[in-house]
Amino acid sequence: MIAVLEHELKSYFHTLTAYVFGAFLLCFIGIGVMIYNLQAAVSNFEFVLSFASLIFVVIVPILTMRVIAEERKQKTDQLLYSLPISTTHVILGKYLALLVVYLVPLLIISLYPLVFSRYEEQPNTFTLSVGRNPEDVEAAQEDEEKLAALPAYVRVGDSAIVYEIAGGDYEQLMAVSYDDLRHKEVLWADFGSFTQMDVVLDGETYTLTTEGTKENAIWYYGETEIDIADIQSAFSSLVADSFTEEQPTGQKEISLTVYLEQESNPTVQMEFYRYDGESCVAVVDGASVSLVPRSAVVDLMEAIRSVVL
Amino acid sequence: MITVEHLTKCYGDFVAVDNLSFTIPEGHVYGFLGPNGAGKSTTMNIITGCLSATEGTVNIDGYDILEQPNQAKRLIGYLPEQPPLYLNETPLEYLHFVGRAKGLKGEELKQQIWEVLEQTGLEHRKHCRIGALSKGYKQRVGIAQALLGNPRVIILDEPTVGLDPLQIIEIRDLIRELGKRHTVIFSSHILSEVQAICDRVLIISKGKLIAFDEPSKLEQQLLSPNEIQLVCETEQETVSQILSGVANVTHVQFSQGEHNRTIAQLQSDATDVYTVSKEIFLSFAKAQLPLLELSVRKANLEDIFLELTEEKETQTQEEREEENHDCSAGA
Repeated sequence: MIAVLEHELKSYFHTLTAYVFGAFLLCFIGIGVMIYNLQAAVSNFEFVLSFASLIFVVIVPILTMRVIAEERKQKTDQLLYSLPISTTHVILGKYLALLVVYLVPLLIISLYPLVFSRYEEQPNTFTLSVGRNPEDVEAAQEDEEKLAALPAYVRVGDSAIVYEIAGGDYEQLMAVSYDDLRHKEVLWADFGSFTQMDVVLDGETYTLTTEGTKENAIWYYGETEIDIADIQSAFSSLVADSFTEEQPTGQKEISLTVYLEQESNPTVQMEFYRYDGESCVAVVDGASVSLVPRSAVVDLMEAIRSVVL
Repeated sequence: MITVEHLTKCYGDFVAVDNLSFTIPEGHVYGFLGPNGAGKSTTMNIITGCLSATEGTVNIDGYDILEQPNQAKRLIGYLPEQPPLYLNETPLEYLHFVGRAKGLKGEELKQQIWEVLEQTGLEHRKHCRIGALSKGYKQRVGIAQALLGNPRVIILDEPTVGLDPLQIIEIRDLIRELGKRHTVIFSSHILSEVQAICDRVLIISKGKLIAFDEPSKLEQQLLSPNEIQLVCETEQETVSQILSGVANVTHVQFSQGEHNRTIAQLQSDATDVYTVSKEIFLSFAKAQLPLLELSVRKANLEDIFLELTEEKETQTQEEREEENHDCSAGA
């Protein structure tokens, strides 16, 4: 097998075969890189690979089809048969030789993604570094008004540019919490993208369906057309007073399953539990999210009751 | 050394080799003789494992060519009818590959390549591209390839075809030389060649073995009468008169030569043809007639070959079967 492998490799690299094959493959990949990476300014190499997979349909048969036929033509197959090596080893040797011929240009091509990885796209996250000069802070320790007016400094990521901001802005910036950035609505999807709503209320299940699309959608309860305006306004007033992760303990008031016209997240499960006289715990997809005013939940229940009854 | 039993090879309906059986002991040079299409190449391809037989077995020194191909093939060096050469390589590269494939390594490989290059007279051409070599040299590269690995049997399929007379003589000398150290089997359709270098001859026709013996024994075996040809400067009647006095002359045929010369061809049934020729010479001398030419033609391999192969063609299938039996028994 080793003898055949050596011999085949020698013949591939002594003739043009290996070089033409390598050049052709590199050229084709090069065109792909030109189109999908350089001109599009994208560092992702996968597009080139899917583009290049097409060429293998042509280039692999060109390389392999003469492997046995050429031996026959030159009558050298008789030599291979009469040598004390099995046919399996002959074929295996030839296969491995071709694999090497194929891997050499591939080795060069594998450098491309390495080069492109140096030009990775900037992620969509920015780091803001905010701070004040510790010496100034020490100096102004006694005087609270002076401390509040001290300027602060902001830097974006690793940038060399440092911005100075006023003391008031600094105080406001430092007061920002995670909850300030969150959606206050329990469900912030567009009401127009609802396709169906299953409601469990007072132990009964009601299914509301739609026909048509978006704003023109007509809602049905069973066979009857219904007016959805009250439910829609009740939905939009389901806004959090505060956020919580507390497990609900009170009685379940209502639960809704909403079907959305979205591929990524087609259903949303919402439940509302009594918390105290003023508010309810909203649970979305099994996790407690926020406290909403009890009145808003009652409004929603009333709106649904008036439709289904 | 080589035992072939009931070998049959069919290509569709055509039977190339028909129930062939023979045993070749170690040593000597064996000639494989037969007209074109007799099945020589097919038989050799089967013996070397290049073709599979439809039926029958080939056994090389105890190894079946199908059951233990690697061990069996290690004992054989084979040169097919068309030398299997990679034309883009030099003899050195080519022999290196064949040597590696035969399991030679390192110093031993170098040594053997050097030896076969010397044996086949290729030392000065070892760096030329094989495609650029003359036919004779290509043939030598082919033989060199067969010699690598020092196999006990060397099988050459028509090694002298297409070579010029000088090259043919060189190749024949080489084969004779090889016969001293290896068992050599070579095929040919040229009789004089086989007669010149073979110790034993196998004659094959239409896929059947029809004779296997030493060339001299084959000649003896043949019952063709001995022929004497003479030329003298007299009329037919005189010659006829003189010849009638000679014993053991069975048949005389006259023809007219140039310048009033008479050519007589006569056959004799004497065991030793030279006693007849001696008597003829003395009779003509007594009559004071000069003999211009007196030649004795003994039956040679060519006659045997023609007789054996042509005979087969004219006989019916049944008779052929019988005849084949007789020949095998004779061999």
